[in-house]
Amino acid sequence: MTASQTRARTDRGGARQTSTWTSAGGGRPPATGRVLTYALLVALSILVLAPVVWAALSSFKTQTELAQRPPALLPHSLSTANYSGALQSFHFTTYLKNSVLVTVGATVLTLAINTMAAYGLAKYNFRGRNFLFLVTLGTIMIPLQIILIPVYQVAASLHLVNSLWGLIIPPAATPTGVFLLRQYMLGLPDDLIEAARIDGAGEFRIFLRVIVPLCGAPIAVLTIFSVIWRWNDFLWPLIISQDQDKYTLPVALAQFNSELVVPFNYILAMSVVSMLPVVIIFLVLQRHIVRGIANTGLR
Amino acid sequence: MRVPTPTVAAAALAAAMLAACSPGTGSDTGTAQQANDKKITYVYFTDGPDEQATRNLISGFEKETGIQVDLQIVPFDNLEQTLQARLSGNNAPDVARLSDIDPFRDDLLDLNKYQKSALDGVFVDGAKSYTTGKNGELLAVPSDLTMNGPLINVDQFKKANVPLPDEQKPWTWTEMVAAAKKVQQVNKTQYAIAMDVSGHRFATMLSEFGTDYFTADGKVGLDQTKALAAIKEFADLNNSGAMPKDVWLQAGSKYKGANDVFLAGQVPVYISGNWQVSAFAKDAKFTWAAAPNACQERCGGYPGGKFMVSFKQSKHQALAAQFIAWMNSAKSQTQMCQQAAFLPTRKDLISSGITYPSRSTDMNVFLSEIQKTPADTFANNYSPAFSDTANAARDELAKVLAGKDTPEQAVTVIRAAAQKALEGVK
Repeated sequence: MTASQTRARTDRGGARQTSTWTSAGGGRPPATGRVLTYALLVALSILVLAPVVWAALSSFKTQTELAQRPPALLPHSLSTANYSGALQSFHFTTYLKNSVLVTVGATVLTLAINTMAAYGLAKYNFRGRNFLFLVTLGTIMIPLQIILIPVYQVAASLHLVNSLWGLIIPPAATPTGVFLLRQYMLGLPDDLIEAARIDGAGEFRIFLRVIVPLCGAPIAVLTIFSVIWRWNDFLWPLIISQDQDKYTLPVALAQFNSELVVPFNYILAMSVVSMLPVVIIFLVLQRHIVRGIANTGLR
Repeated sequence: MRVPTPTVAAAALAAAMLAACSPGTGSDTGTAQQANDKKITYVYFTDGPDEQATRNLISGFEKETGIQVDLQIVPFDNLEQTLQARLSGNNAPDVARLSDIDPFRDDLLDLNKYQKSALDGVFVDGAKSYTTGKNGELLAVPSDLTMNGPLINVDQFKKANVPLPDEQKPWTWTEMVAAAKKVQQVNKTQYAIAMDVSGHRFATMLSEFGTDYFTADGKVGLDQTKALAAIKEFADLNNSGAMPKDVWLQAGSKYKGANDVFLAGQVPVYISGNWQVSAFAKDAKFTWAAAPNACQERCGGYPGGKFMVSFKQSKHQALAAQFIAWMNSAKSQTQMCQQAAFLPTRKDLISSGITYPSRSTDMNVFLSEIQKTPADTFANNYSPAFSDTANAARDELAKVLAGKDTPEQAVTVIRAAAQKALEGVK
């Protein structure tokens, strides 16, 4: 903590009144609010980062070190035995490829289906519209575990089992996405659509050229949600993909869970490996993601 | 685009719901149409070193027979869910490895139909009633046996000048506790004895105290006084700090191994089973050994194990049965046991013994425990009501440790749970 910060904290009133603050550092002392904000932000980021850092450090530990009480922060040595041992039976590139294909494919499909459904529910008047919307919303309340078997049977009869399509198509229609987009589209003025109709635009053209560009913000939100959902999805991919070369990362990670012995050192090492692509993508695209959300947020 | 998407979706949903109700997808249809291709699927869960051993055996099988085996590894926790979904979609694997065959009894293939000569009567007798179906079918083959028993930290015993237990004249439970406590004091370890959070491991203690969840003829066992003595001893050990109470309380109603406490050198005696041998051979940084089970009223450990099964839905029943028979031939089981530090289930191998390439003495300690283990424990472990009862016992013991129930109440609760579990399977 710098001197000015200490001063600002211990002598808050004084720091604010004396506008002629002179210190070695120069510049104005930070306002109390700002200091508190930063302190809070730093504390929160440590809170969020701690498990990740802990996992990364622990991934170098042996089973014995993991069991040590009290646990040590740093591993004894940066031995890569866990990584090489686990990677022998862990075909990382295959799983990563599957995860990426499924995430991208399912997200594109989710966006296409959900925007169309939401547009229909928001802007067309037809009998039973509200009922259909309520039915769509109602499905939010049914967890996958309950309908797993019938959904699996449908997927099996459509020959989707044990193929990546089976991971992409069935989870594509998400009620949450429809709800999110519909509520946003309700706020768009009907005049825009009518004006486009008068100009002779077809219905699909209106949807593509007028509505979709105006829905940037919720589409961005849904994209992020969908990517997170599909990347972390476990139960459905587990049931649908049977051959190891169809596994996604979370399913592949769970393979290590056995009945009697759980090799946490391997699980930790492979968790770190699975985290890396996401971290790298975020680091590279950070600006774009943040700016994209900020821009579209302005509409 | 006048037809709104949700209508289509709703129609599709309705159709899907109707399809789910349609008959014909049931699994009791006897035999499925058989396919001609020479390729079978094997759904497997792994305990670690056995994965590579299985892969080695499979490649041997493929070379010898020209049949391709697709090994599909699923996490143990989701095994039942996966298989149930696949059975419902008429998409069952040809062969599966199971630890509990009861949820699938009606779906399992009678292996005697194809491989009676190779499989019938070959495996450990205790498992027979469990693997036999209502009409005498052979529903499953015990593919590996586990045996519970203590593992000890030899370094700590030596430092404390406590003699190691003698296999010919095993220690009593009281002697084991006394020895463990002495070693704990000298080495200043946190605990004296640790046990996995599992009703199955606790059954080892019950059996040593002379009783068991069920009697050999399948009625509720749990002798009042003997069970009470075991539970009291267990509670005392935990409450006095000789056993790690927090491991049981922390686990909630889930299985948890105490292997990390042993590996960290914080406990000299760890009651687990033979599956720890290969893991400890790799991970333990001290000298350790398998020890004979304590004899209080009775000697011996407690058995467990996995099974290989095929399904009526399988489209390659003959090949599946052939594969199961091949994997459990004397030669294959020997290889599997040597590479994965497993115990055999074949009667001939149990009596002849197996030479293990590493930690052979420890493995043979477990192997010789099989003969000392009372017959009713096999009947118990292979009883369809066992897992429910063992889980109830585990949860009830946690309640005793938390001070919610007395040991007397615990006996009543576990007896009631055993009764309920028995009624549930009838």
